[in-house]
This record gives sequence, structure tokens and C-alpha cells, in this order.
Amino acid sequence: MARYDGPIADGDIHHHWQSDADVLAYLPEFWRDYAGSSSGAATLGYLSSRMLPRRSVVGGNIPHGSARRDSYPAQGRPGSSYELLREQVLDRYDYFRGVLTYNVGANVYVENPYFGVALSRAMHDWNADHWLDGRDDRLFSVVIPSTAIPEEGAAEIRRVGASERIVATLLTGNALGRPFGDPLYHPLYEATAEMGLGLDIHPGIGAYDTFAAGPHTSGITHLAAFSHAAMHHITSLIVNGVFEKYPTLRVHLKEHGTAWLPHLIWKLDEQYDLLRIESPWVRRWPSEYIHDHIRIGTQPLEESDDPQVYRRLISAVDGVEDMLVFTSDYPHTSSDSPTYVAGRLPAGWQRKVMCDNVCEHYGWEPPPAGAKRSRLEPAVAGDG
Amino acid sequence: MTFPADLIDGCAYHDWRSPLDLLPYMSPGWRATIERRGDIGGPMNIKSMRRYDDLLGRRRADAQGGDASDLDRLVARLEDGGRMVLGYDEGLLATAYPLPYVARQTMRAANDWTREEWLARDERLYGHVLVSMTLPEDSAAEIRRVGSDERMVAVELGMNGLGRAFGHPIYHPVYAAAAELGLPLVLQATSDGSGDTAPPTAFGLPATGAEYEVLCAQGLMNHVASMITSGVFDLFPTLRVLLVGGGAAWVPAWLWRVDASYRTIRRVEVPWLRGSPSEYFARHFRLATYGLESPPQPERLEAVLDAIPSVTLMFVYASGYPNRAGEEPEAVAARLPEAWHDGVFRANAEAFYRWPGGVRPAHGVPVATDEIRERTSAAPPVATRRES
Amino acid sequence: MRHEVATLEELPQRVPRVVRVRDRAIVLVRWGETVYALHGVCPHMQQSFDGGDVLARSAGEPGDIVLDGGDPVLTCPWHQYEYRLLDGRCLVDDRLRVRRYDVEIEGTRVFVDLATPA
Repeated sequence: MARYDGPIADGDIHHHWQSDADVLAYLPEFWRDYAGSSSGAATLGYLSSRMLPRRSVVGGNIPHGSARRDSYPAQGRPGSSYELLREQVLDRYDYFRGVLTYNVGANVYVENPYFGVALSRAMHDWNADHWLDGRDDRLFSVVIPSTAIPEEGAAEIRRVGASERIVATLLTGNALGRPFGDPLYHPLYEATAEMGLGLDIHPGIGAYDTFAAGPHTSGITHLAAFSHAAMHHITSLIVNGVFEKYPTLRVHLKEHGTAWLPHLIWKLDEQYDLLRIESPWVRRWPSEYIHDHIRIGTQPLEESDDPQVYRRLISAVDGVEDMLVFTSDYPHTSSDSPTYVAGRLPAGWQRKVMCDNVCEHYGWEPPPAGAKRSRLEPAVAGDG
Repeated sequence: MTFPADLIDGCAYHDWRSPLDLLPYMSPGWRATIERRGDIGGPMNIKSMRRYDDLLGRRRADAQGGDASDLDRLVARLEDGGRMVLGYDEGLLATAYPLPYVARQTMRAANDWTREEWLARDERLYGHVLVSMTLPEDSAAEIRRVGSDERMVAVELGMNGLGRAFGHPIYHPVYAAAAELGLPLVLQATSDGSGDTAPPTAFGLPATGAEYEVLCAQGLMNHVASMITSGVFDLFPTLRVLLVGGGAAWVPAWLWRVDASYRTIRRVEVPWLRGSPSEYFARHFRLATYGLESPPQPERLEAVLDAIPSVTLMFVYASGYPNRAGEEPEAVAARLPEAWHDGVFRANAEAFYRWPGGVRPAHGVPVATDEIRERTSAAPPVATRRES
Repeated sequence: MRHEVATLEELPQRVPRVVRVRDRAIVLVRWGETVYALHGVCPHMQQSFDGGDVLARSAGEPGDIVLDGGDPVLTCPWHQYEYRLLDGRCLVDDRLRVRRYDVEIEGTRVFVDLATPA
């Protein structure tokens, strides 16, 4: 397959602050004192031990803090260096656009919901000053509302979402222990739809981001089971009639993988009769809601030994070429290179998945058909 | 198509009508306590409750009201040369009943009841040794007590009442006993589906029964990964596991993702593994057709299932009778390639279960440590690009 | 076809050093008295081995980890894939292997034979 040379838009770049003080400075004095000093939490990127989600992050067994070794700047954490981001991603692959999604924003899911609300505000204010200050037209970002107090979260969506650089609400954790279709969270969707933002979902690592069958016995299971979160949230959003209530809402689930999609779509449609009995506001086939409202980030793209096997599987349901959106997950260990992803997609899907579907979700005008990147990246990552 | 007279139904369900059915197999003290003769509430409850009701009915429309308890209805489905393996659906709810000694008593009584009132009455019926995963040592003893009955062809793992995935060392006594007796394991998708188990889903509980039916394989997936990564198949290399009720179209996604995580974390978490998790899956797991996904275009299913390693050896037909979600052989055959049919309806079940008098095939052959150095079916080409 | 690529002083223990020789990148790893030379790029997503870890291979029985210093590995700094220094095979993906090169050391001078059979 010829190498993809068209434009690239990336729906998931995990940016970060260089030092805790950078964000703490935006907290009101009371909360700044409450935050206390950085402790061992620092290596996980949390501002202080008081901000840690209180369960073992088993996936954190990944060496080098779950990040590419070369993404560590001389000072600060992976994702905190704009220069490295340009060198390794934005300029290297001549990006059209990218969405900055914090690392991973679960900071707001702390035990104290009021503190979470304050943290959320501080992060957004820091972001506006340090990343969305006009330094790079390619960069956009998200608002991470508290889900612990949905009305407060909705207010923050309205406050921050007014910026033209903010393109989505990002939910990264489940502060109330309910899947995301639950009516508790609907104020967040009302605000998101009102502001014309996308609704993005990233796996959470908080106290209520629990898994089937109990605590994991390996990080391997933990990472793979992110797919379960996507399947549950999609199912829950449909069953709770979220797309009937908010028909303009578009949802992008990222870092959950892709290859479970045929399984989920078939299982949901099989249950149509029972769905209609239990949830009569579900008017359409689940597969229709999914095609119209759900977008799936490509990362981590499943790696079949024979690329054709993945291509056949992901094509087993019609219309999936409209649903995938490219995400890198830079700078995490499990991140994907755009070249690799483009090369693994079914023929004819590249321009949609690598660019146009991303643009449609975030409300961007895509580059013209047939546009090419100004240069192709060198073959070897790490080459200039 | 017509099906062979020696078709094997790898899992249909038999259940007791009420706890009274099990009383003859209990000690006098337990008998009286559970019977509660004269109590206006009837016999004592010995089962957990399901988390979700199925508003369309869990049983087939023509099998409502106790047909899982009707031996004649079940054996009427068999040809002369056929075989049917009996598993537990309702009965599984007793295995994680929170009163541990009641669960233990029920487990033993159920196994004796199965042997006397089912297996003894029709030679085409075979059984699972039911065990309670909340009581690993008692379960191991139970496997040793009844597992050498040649009509018991597998061990059925009870529900997840301890709330830990099934690779955890706490369960290893169960696996040791099963391996010792040469018995494979059966794991039902309902393993995490009662009010007394770990949750069946990630990130909270669903609101409705329909959601539960869609998502119920999540527990199975985690048990599979847990068993592999905890080295269960390195410790007990002859063990194999049949997954029942969770469908199969999730398998490629799960294995690809588990393999990818393994490649990143192997040296930190699972250096004892002697190959990728998907290699272990191909050797040690099998998939029952009960719960198999049903796309509107049946031919699309193959595009997904083809990605499962050793797929022609994988599937075991299981009717799931008398459940509404169960299927006749014709319905399953219609969406699986014909080349797979002999495996699905006979040969794979033949190879999986410990049948009387048979020579057990070499499933789960252990990989020697040195093999990791010498693995040489031709050295792969250098600097292979993993891009397309 | 020997090429001089480094001196021993330039190769600290267990730190991968990527050098360009002719048209190719080669990673040199010093492990004890031995210097290993492998193709310098991970074939998974084309990441340079620069910055990777060099470790004794970990193995063992379930629950017990044993390190084999006679079978060292180089990890890719991106996804942490492990490659045996002895033969370039990827421990975690059977189908991947990087080319290894014979190394000669004369005094403190390190030479790589580019014509080592693949």
C-alpha cells in the first residue's frame, strides 16, 4: 500500500505541566494550601498525594512512567515540552491539527469533590495561558469538568467552552460510579451540546473506574480492559436515550481500541426487543445511533500478524470508515505512529480516518481533497 | 443440513426445581434446616439472586416452568448416538451463596443429585463437577471425591463470590485437583452476574437487563487474561477451559490487546510466560457456541472469527437449552463455515472433555524453557517492517 | 568488511550507543567484556534504540523471577519490546528480529563486520 501522504489531525495528545507550581498558582489560596507539597505523587504526574485517585494504577507498571523514553525533556514531565512535541509529532508529521488532552485529566477525580472543581478551573486557566496563547494555530484543547458535581461541571463547560480553542468536553473518569449514560451526568451533555463541543471520553484511573471480576491481577488485563469501559459507556448512552435528548451530541471514545466494535454492535442490535421493552425511548437500532453519534479513536490500534486480518475484521460492519478517528496518545508508551496506523487501515479509509472524521467531530473545516503534507517524515523515528 | 447421530451438545442446563430436590443428598441436620418443614416461607433459600431480570424470560417460550428440571424433555433432544453434557444455569447461583457452609453443602448435594438422578438414568448424559470458587480447598476435595466418576467429564467453576479474577493463586487448589483428575474446566459467562459476586461490567453497573446481556462477557475476558498471566497454564499445563455463554466476536480484539500489553510489560509482570497470551489461549481455551453473536448478514461473522487462533479447533456446539438465548444446531451451522462443522458439532467436544475410556489428546503441551532460545521454525527475516 | 565504529571508552556498560555506518544505523551495547552490535532501529514502529534499556533477561516460574545475565536484552524506548543481544530476536514477538553484526575488539578499538550474514 502506498504510504499515506495526506493531512493528519490527531484527537489525543497528552500534554502536561512542567512543574506542579505552574498549576497550583492558579488555585485560590485556600485550595493551594490544601494541595500541600508534591510527594511521591509527582512521578505519576499528580499535583500532590492529596490529588491521587485512591486505587492502584496497575497499568502504571509500564516502565519509564508509561511514556516514551525520548519524550522526557531535560526539565519537566513527558508532554510538558512544546519543543519536543513539535519535534516528535507536530512538525515531524506535518500535522494539520491536534487536540491537547492533559495527562490524562483524572486529577479532577479526587475524593473531595469541591477540590476537584477548583482543580478543574485551575487546569483550564493554566492551559489557556501556557498552551492556547496563540503559539501554535494547530493546537486545540478540551474542558475537563468535574463529574462529581455535574452542575458545577456544566458551569465550567460553559465558562471554558466559549473559547474558540476549546473543541470538546473530556470525561476521563467516573466520579460517581455510574456509566456515562446515567441521568446524573446529563447536565454535562446539555452544556456540551449547547456549546457545540464534542464529547470525548478517555479511560479513567479513579476510585470508581472499576472493572469486571474484581481488582486486576495484572496490568496487562487492566490496559486491555479499557475496551470494556467504551463498550459500557456506549451501551449506557444509547439505553439512557442520550442521543434522543441531545440529538446533536457527538461522542469520541479514545484509547479504548477498535476491534471490539463488531462484537458490540451485533450484541446491541440482538437485544433490540428487550431494549425497547426496558427503554422505550430508544427509537432506532443501536447500530444507527452508533454510526451517527459515536467515534472511536484508533489508538491503540490492534496489531494482527497479518494486516489483512484486522482490515477484514474492522470492515465486518458497514460504515466503520466513518467512525474511526486518528489518535496518537503521544507521549505514552502505547502510543501509535501515524504512519503505522495509516498503513494498517483498509484501503481507501486513510484520508477519512487520519483527517476528515477528526475534523468533523471537532467542527473544523478539513483541508481540500487531495491535499498533501508538505513533507513526509523520515523513515526512522529519532532521525532529523 | 443433517446432523450426525453422534452430535455432542457441549452444554445444556439441568437444574433442581427447589432445594427440596437436593435434600436426600444432605446430612440430616442440614436436611431439616433447609427444608424448614411447616415454615410458612417454605424451604430456606440457597441461591444468590441474579442482578438483572430478563423481561422476555430467561427460558424459551416452550420451556417455561421447570423444563431444565425435566430429564425426559432434555433427553428427547438426543439421537441414539448423541451425547449431552449437563451444566448449571440457575444452579450456578448457589455456588457463591454468601453463607459458606450452605454453599459447600449445596455443592456436594448437587454433584450427588446429578449422578443419581440424571447420569444414572440415561447413559448419553454427562456431567460437570460443580465447585464453589468461594471455597477453593473444599472444592479441590470435592473434585477428588466425585471427579473420578467417568461420567463427570469436566469441572464447572462456580461464581466469583470472592471478587478476584480466576487466575489468582487463591484458586490454584481447584486447578491442581482438576489437573490431577485430568478434568478440563468450564466457565460460564454468568460468573459475575449475581448480587453476591464481583461486578459483571467495568465502570459501574448497567441499569437494565438488556445492557447486562450485551456486556456480560467482560468478566470472562478478565478471567481469561488473569488465568494466563498468573501462570495457571504453566503450573498446570494440561488444563483447558471452555468458555460458555459469552459469544466469541470479542476474542480477536481481546487477544490482540492482551498481546500488545504483554509485549510492553512482560519483563516486569509476567516473565514466566513462555509465549504470547494468544498462544496460551489457542492451546488452553475453547469457545462454546451458546451466546455466539448473530449479525444481520451471517457471512460477516467469519471475517471476525477468522482472526481467532486455531479457530477450527475452537468451537464446541452448546445448545444452552432450555434458555431463550440457546440455539438449535441448524441455526449455529448457518453462520459458521461448513469446513468447521465437524469440529463444532463433534470433534472439538470429543477432544475437550474427559470422556470415559478415551485417550486424552495432548492439549496444553508445556513449552520447555529452552525452547524460547531455540524456537526456530525458520528465523524470521531481519528488520521486518510491521507496517503494511 | 570491518568498520571501526567506536572505542571502548565511548561505550559505557549497558548504555546503547547508536552509530551511523555507511547507510545504516547500528546500535552498540557493551555488556561486561562483550560488545554487541545490532541494527539500530526497532522494526515495530521504526524507533531508534537510542535511550533503550539494557538488562539481563527476566524469566522464571509463576510468581518467581529469575534474571539471566548470560542472555541480555535491549529494549526499545518506545513500546519496550525486548531484543536478545545474542541474536537480535524479539523476545515478545516471534516474527521480529533485528540483524546482528559480528564485533571485533582490538585493544580499545571496536570494529563491526557489516558483511555478517543476516
